Amino acid sequence: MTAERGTTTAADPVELDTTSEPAGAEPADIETPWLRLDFRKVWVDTTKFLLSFVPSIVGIAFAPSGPLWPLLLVSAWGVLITMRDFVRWLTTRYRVTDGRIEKRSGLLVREYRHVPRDRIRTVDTNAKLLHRIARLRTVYIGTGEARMSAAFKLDAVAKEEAEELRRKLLPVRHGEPAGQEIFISGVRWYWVFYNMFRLWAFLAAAVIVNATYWFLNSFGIDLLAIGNQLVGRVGLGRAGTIAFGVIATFVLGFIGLAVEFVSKYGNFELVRTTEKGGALLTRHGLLTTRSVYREDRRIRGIQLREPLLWRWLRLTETKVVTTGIHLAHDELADVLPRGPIDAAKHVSKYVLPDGFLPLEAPLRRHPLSALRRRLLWATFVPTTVAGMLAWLGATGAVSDGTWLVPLAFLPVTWALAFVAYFALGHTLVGPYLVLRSGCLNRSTVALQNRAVIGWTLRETIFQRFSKRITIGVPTAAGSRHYRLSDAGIDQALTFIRGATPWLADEFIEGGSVSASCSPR
Amino acid sequence: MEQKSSFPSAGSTNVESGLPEDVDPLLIRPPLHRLDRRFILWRTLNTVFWAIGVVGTFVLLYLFFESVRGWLGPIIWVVSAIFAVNVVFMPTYRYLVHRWETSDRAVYTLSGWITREWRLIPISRIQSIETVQGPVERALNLATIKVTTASAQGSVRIEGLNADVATKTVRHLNWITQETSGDAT
Repeated sequence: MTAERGTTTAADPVELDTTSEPAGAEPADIETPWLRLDFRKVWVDTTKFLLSFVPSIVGIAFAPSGPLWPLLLVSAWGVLITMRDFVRWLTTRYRVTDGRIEKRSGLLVREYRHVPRDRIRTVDTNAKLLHRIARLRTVYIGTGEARMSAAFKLDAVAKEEAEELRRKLLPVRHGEPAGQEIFISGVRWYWVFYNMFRLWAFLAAAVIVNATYWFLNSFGIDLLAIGNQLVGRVGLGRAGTIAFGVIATFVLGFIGLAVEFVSKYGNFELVRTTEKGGALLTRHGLLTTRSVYREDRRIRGIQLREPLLWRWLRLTETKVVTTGIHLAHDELADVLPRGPIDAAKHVSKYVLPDGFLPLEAPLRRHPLSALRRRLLWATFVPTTVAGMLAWLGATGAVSDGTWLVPLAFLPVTWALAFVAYFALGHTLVGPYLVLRSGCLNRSTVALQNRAVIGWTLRETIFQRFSKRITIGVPTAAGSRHYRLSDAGIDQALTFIRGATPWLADEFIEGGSVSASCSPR
Repeated sequence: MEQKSSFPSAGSTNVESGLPEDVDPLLIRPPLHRLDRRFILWRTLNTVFWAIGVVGTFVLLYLFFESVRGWLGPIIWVVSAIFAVNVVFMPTYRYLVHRWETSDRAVYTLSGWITREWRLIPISRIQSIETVQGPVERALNLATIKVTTASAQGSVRIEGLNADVATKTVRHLNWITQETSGDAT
């Protein structure tokens, strides 16, 4: 396994093969038969196939004169997707052997995937509406560290088969009876308001309005003409109309987001089950149910993210810091949708397996020179931009007077500097490190010290004069790296020593004589 | 059910720093070993290549396009000045600052020149160890060691080591890593 020069792996990274080589057959493999996906998927596909013709048929029937091409595009797309799914169903075979699960699929492009069973971290089932009617489930098998395109998907298997697969692949530990659940939290109705007011509602609504315009246009209904008529009648004038349009789009966006929230998080339940030696299970969805298991033994902490604009609502996102979830699939770690911070703190009591309450502890402030630094940056950036614009204006590249615009932002940046400074904080609670920082999104992370896989200390030249330092905490869980900015050097070193004395002994000296700590 | 902070008190941890410092303040111990002297030559060559590339491109743009000359001129001067400082001072400064160390328990490095960065990785968390040699490095008998962990930002690069020292260190690290139990994610 070792080479003179070259790469050595202490733990083999997962190799997911998408080449068409056959399995290096272990003797037992030859006997295990290849299984096909469930036949009822054909009905689902046929239904989707027929449904994709509906827009074209309706368009031709009701408005033969309008432009037909958008509808034909939609139908053609639907047909192509359905055919691709059908071919995939036809050619897919899968099987579960002792050491791995394998899948073969594809007609023109042959695909072969195998995943070693001990690398499987998550088995999720998803059920869209049509699937639910046919009592089918789509199974997603994840390995945590895998590349995004390598998610193992079985679409679709019977509901019972899906449960059987999950039981087989994520074995129950200690022979415990499956499925004893302790309810932790649900979602109250007023959480809709926490979720529907988002800035990008505008963008989402604009896209929908655009799509609707084209759709209705195919039926001969011209939204623009109607809009012009309305404007003429109401007589708001140009600015008024634009303002009205923007507000209307926002409102439409909010309503859209509210509907999406209700359909996605209806029947939300966060429970702790005793399956898999203890796991956190979230189940949600009005029409399609999504259930995600997060094993207790992988949980390393909890993270709250509070967006700036909604700080007055005490709104927060709650995420559990866990290994086994790829960075790109971050949303699997969310245990609650956006909601009030009290619910998050209540939940954190039950989420963390050892009963500590790291989020309740008061945090240490960082030195005032951190505030000075932020104010300096808040002043420096707009004035530099203004200076450059002034110089460009003098050379004629940009119109005169634009250099005043960045200066108008100065009060905003100063306020943000204060916000950023007061967001900084850290402390230690039992085995947990607590870090808080962030301006637009104040993020509080409580991380177990056993999850710390090193330390990164960074000191810029200005920090050296003011005796501050920035700590980075690399870890195998969550975002893989958490940062504590601008702590005083003494604060920082005390923090490191208190968090992981065995690592601190390697490079920190001084202070009181430390008691001997168990090396890791 | 612990909930109050269990922060140990040591040194002057008060924000205002009005309190007197502790008799024995906490310090970061720098790693033991220096880099190979030829690191200076390597970085100088690197910077010169980059300088020729960047400034050369700008000068070409300046010569060929009349319209950008107004604002490209000062930019060329500024960039050239920065590169000049880099070529003359940076490699030696870095050589004086960079340190590295591998023990039986951890890999520990210090790097940077204006901004300093200390990185520590415990051996038990190492996932892979690699040696890299670019063409210039090979000519100068230098090598770079890259150590990665489960966290992308938790990785460590030790540049400018003598190639034989690098080989020996990597062999030693391989041996210890196998002795120590896995990456424990």
